Amino acid sequence: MIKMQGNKKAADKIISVYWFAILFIVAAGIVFMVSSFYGKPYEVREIEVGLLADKGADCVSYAGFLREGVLSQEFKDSFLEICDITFETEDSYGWTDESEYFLQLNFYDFDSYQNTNKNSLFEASAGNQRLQNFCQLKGKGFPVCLERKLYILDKEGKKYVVKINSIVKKIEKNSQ
Amino acid sequence: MKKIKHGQIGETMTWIIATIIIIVVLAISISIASISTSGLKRVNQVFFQTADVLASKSMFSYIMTENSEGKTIHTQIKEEGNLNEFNGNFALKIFRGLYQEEYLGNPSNVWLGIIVETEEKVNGESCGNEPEFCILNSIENGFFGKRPLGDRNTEIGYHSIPYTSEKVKLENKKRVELNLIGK
Repeated sequence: MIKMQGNKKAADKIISVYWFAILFIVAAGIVFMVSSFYGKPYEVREIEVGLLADKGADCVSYAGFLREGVLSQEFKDSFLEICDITFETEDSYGWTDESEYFLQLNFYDFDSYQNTNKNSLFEASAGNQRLQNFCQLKGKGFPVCLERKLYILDKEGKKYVVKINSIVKKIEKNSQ
Repeated sequence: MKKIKHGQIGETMTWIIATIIIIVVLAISISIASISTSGLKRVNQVFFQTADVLASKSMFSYIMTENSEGKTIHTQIKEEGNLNEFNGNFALKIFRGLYQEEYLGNPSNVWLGIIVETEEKVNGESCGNEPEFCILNSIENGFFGKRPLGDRNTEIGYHSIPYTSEKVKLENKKRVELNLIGK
């Protein structure tokens, strides 16, 4: 009888150790599930390219008219400063070696815009031009590109279409 | 003694099976969690989009465009009450020409026309301090046709589908509106 009681006590001890082990396994499983969901970064580049295009549009158009001095060499040379845009990124993944952004504004005459061989009247761009080569490629590991258009008038009533190309690379943080 | 041994083996088997079940359930949960988050957590602009900045700017430029007599489109629409040959075709060129592709490539997803605000709700009562419930009548035009969101609806009613709208006031209860649906 005494031996039986001793066996039961030992069995209870083993079961309580077992319960602790199960508790840790379940807890580890929950931690893994939560971290696998919340640990992944959000892909925000689609928003970033949209904002970049909006910023470009804001820079050239105000109250329906072309801002003064836009179609000038000075605007072309100091495009980012005039538009108050910075392409600075954090110093990781070698992002500071080469710009992760590209923004280009192309001005066309409205009436000839529909023509297939239209010529750009004026062009201003900043950032990493090489990123344009990846825009035809679709997939996780490629930069996100956006091309938008804007109708705009100058003070003399001349009509333009502005084509805005914005590109964000930042592959390392957004498409893991 | 033999009976006790049998009992112990039975109990041990129960625990082993229970452990296996727990591990299997956990493994299934983990694999489901991994599969469901294998795609990127995408946040795109449509989530938050209530306005289209470029379309809005184009709309302002359109409204300020003058005809050969030097009359702005704003004045023309205000005087004539609807789109005419010049500003209607011009609007088609701008808004369908530049934005249709972005709005699912569907021409009826881009609409420009005149909206008249009324002061009554759907049930016929006055909308008073609740303008979002006031019925808005849209005027059909020969270029964009009928308003795809419904020619008699309320601001609240329109929000059953994703759309952005740019508005330019003509007079007290009348306005030109550009609707861009979907994306």
